Amino acid sequence: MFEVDKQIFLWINGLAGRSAVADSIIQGIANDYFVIVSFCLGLLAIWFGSTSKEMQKAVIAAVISIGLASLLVVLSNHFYFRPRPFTELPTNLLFYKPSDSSFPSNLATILMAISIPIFWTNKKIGSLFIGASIITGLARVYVGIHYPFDILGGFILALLASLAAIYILKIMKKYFDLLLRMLEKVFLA
Amino acid sequence: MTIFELSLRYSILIFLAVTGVLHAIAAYRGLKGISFFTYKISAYIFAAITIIPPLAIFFTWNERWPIGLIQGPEQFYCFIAGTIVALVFTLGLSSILKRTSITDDPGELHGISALKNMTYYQAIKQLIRSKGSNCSK
Repeated sequence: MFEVDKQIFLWINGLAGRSAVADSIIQGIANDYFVIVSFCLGLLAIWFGSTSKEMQKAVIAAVISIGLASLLVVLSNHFYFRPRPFTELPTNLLFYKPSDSSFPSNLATILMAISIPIFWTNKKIGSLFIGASIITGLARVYVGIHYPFDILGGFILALLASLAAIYILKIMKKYFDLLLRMLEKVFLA
Repeated sequence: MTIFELSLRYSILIFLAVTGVLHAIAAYRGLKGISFFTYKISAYIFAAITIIPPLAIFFTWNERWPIGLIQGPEQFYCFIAGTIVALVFTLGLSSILKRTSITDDPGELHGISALKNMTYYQAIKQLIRSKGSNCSK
């Protein structure tokens, strides 16, 4: 299985270095700031811009999901360390050299953890978030810092975290409704 | 550049971008009470000016500061700090700028939609007033 992972990595990363423009764009997408900040601004826009209570609950679920996904990443890193591809394979590295475990991709996990609760409530907006998460995941492989399975593993952890967050929101509905009512009282929801 | 300077820079960029997002939302939903501007077009232009440059800087962050890395938790705290300051700044400044141009019409005193007719300060004042009159009854 890891052989397949390495072959896919070599194929995707092998595309790097052919076009300076493509490399620059993909480096920007893959970095640790741009997409995650855009996602958070998106959540803020959904919170204040949507008239639907369900969308505001989806934002709350996304925030819970981020917390749970981070916890799953910490746990995974505690039990399993996978070296980065650039330490094992000939790599076109377009990024700085991270020293933490390659599996799972922290960024891919967090992005998908935000996307799934939004998709659960609104398929159209959620699809945009999921599409951006997948593109960012692929970009991280392209720049040489993750194997494809690191991204896939991150997405699976994110799915678990999101489902747990949606379940928490469901079983604690009355408390979250109360929170929304309180925020509504002070004109913030 | 120290990690403190980088974090400060990050927070300022978040502050600008969030202020812009709030203005775009204000224009989109007609929330006159939280916008600094009278016309929607001005709010959209202001939003573009405050959102696009910070995002462009985030896009090229690793090229600008190749060894400047803000870890996930620090990013989270900086984002929250920048967002809170932007929210307080936007609600505060719009309340000052629009104190005379918006009459505190208590049409709808419920949720964010109340800010279509009132500034945040006027809405809070109405809320306190209505609570006071409920208590005296």
